[in-house]
Amino acid sequence: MDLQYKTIHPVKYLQDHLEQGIRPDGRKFLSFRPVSVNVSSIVQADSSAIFKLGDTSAVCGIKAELATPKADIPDHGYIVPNVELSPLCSPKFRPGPPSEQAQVLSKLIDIVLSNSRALDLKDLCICKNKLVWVLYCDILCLNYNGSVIDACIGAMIAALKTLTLPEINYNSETGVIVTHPENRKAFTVRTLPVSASFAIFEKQLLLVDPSDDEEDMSSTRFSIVMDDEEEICYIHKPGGIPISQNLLCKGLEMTKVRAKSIRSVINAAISTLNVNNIETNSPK
Amino acid sequence: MEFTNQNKEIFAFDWSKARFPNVFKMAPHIVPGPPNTTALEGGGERPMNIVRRVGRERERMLGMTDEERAWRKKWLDAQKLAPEEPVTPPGYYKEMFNPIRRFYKAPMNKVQNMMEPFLGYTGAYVARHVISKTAIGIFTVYCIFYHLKYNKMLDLRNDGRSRCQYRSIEIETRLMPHAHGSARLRIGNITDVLVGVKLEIDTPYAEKPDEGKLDFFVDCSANATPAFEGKGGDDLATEISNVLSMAYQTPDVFDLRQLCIIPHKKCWKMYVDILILQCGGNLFDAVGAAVKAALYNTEIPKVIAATLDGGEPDIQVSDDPYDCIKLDITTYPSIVTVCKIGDNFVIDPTLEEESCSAVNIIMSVMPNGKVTSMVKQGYGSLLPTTLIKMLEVGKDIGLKLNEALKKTLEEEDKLGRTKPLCGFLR
Amino acid sequence: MPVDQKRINGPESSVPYNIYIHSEIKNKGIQPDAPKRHDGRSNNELRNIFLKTGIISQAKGSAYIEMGNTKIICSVFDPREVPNKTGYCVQGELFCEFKFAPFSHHKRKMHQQDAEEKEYSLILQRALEPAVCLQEFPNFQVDVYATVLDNGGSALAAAIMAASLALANAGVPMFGLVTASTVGIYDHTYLVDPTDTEETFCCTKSVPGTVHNHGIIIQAALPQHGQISEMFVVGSVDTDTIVHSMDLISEAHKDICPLLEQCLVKTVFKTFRPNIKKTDTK
Repeated sequence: MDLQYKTIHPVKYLQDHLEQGIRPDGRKFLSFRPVSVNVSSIVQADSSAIFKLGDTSAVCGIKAELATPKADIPDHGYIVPNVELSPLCSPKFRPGPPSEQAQVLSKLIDIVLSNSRALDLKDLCICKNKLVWVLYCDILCLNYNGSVIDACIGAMIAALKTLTLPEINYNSETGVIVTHPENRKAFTVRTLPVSASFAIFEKQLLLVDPSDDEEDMSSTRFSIVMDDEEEICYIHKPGGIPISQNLLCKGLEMTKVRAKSIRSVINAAISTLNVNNIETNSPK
Repeated sequence: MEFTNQNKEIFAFDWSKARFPNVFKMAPHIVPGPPNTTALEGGGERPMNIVRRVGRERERMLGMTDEERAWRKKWLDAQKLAPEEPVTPPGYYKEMFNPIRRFYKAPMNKVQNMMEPFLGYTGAYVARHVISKTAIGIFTVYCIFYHLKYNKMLDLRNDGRSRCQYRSIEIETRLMPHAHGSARLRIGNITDVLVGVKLEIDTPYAEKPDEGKLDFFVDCSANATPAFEGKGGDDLATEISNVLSMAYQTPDVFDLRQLCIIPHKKCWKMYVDILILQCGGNLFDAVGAAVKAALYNTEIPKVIAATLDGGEPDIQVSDDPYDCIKLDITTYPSIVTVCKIGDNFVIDPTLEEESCSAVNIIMSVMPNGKVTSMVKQGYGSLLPTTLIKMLEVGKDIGLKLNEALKKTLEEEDKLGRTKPLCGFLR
Repeated sequence: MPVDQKRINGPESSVPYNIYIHSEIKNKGIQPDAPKRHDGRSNNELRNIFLKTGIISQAKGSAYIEMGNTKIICSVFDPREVPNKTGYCVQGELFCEFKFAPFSHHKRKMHQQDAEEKEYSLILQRALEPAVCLQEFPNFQVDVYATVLDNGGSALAAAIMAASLALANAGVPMFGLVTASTVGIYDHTYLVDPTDTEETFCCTKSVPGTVHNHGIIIQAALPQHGQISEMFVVGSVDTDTIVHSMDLISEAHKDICPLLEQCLVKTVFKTFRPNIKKTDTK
């Protein structure tokens, strides 16, 4: 009965729920979905993380490769974030080149990375003018159920935070490269940008962490990305109705709280990994 | 048991008089009584022969006495049937025939009864048997005829071939002077494939520094079938090029190291371009054989000097067009499609045969009998035993095809470069 | 190569660092005659399989499979009309897309499907087609997407199984489940369910001038009907070897099939239990 109602009158279904002061998935208006993070589960990638936000999940894998730097910035490495909204994750997407939404997301993440100064591209330099690291961060959405920006940024940050790079010896005269895969060095991430998404309905009703249906039927939505120092890295508001300053302020406040909790989840996930590493390494 | 009782009566009939003619002159008191029928019932021997004395030749020479003649006459008279005879005792029919026979005899019995007033008993009896036996005969002949006509067991296909027979294959090589190797192949005047081999100098892959590159490109031109228009042929093209690259993937077949010029720096990249001009079924076999033929006459220019000049490679290729290296095709596989139609396997299917088969297997067979790749196609599934059978059939055919192709190519090669080009418009 | 305008592009060319690893470390790989394989299994042993359905809430049906290091996620969507189709078609169609995630392979994969992935998509489609009642949805197609998150070997076989589970989870009418397994062949050694290093070993390594068998055989079957739905051989093997490995694979299928069945039974229980609870509270 519930399901039929939802498919026949999706808008009314949501409105009825909202009038009752509850959301279709049983949450309060201002409650977030639970977060879970799993790091380094993918063996083939140099580092990886799976970020789950309720149903929404995104996986990020980082592959490090070697390349020659650009001539104008010879000591900067590359970081290439790409978001893939594959047809796997939702019936909204079709196979083929990336949709506009995926392009917007990729660009957004690129900007967030450079704005937040989370990583220093100079760290990726092996030999000036000759050899630098390229970090291909590919973010794959596995389940598209709203607030994908949060999941993508979370997955990428967690993956970057756990990234280790092997030691490379480069002989600048002969050009011979030797890799030492057993000596891996951790890569420093200076800050952890975290994002939170909001959806706004008529009469300036604010919902946090919207699901896919809520996003579709909302009047507008926005996402705020904040770094460690509670500074705003990025605000994303794609069209829709104008919002009042009050709402934005409220959003900022909530983001602060949310960012702290997400950061603690990520750090907890990483610390379990470290414990595991020590445990597995000690008997050898 | 009425039957035996009747016997008893026969034996009892005129026993004392008839039994002992005066030849024996036996005293009446020693006349044996009626035979002990208990022995008879158990299947024992008859107590005496009805032929009696005449059975012995010497006795027969004595001739018959009058008494005997009278006796015989009497006996002959007794043989004549009375008008009410023969008497069929009740239950006799039921005893003689089992229920199944009674069942299938019933209709013809009725027919016989109906005919009896017109033909008499014997006539009806004969007619009944002739009619039924003829009907059975005709029915059997028809069954055999239809079985042979519509069952594939005849080993005959629509175009007159047997199951494991190819259509005629025509092959012509070296018809494009600008390509390093080329071949054109036609199967049965319908399927038409053109293959060109081009070589370029390229840098090897970083992870395989001492290997060259081999690439297959398939172009399904839209004039082959209307279905290839636009992107229609793309799936088929991918399929064909994948089958080819799998067939040539293993180093046992094609050692990519022979395409290397300077490790890490330079190698040959071989482009095999396949153009499908007309599609009349069995594209895979056609493409496989054509590629093999094109590689057979591919001539790799000889590199006369390859030096590293300050880290930069310097390559000189021989100017003489006759100074070249040929590839060794003795390991190259040919591709065989085994098509399953009904319960039988068919080689070299035409378009119609392809459309009625649910499963076919595409395999590439090396001249030494090894299988380098195998793919199942079609929406059906197979039993393991069938698959193994198809595998064996495909292997045998592949070996034969390899052999025939090699022979033909060598023959054509003997004609030398002076051989006239037949070209396309014949 | 034309620049992909729709993605963020890195440098024009980059090389993976693994190729510069010292060759001594690289070649410590595999001895085919060793009693145990490098991960401690015997030759006929399968890796542990973890299965879960309903992992993608947005899809009609989905499944996740983990075989050793291989991790594959697969989703199935509602039937939709076959695009660009004129005329009526009695049978429905399956559309399968097989994709390696860019980070799933030891060599980075591009975003577009390459030839190998296209071939695997076709194999996936042909392996599943015999199991699906296509006549139930004429003129429509069902989309099946499989993504390899981590390739630890035998990815295609795992994808076939995940896809068949996802189809069952989506409620697509089927004749039976599809199981698949891989055998790697090197000379007289048969490695069931090979890892990625064993796969590359079986595929490429061969001493020139010898007639060693080497190659990979993937077979998909409907074990409940004893039928083979897809067979894929690459390498250089003789027919006796193929027949022998088919026996090995059919043994493996017998082991795998109950796992898939159990997983589906669990899914059914899971879908009914919350309802039972709800009615209780009412």
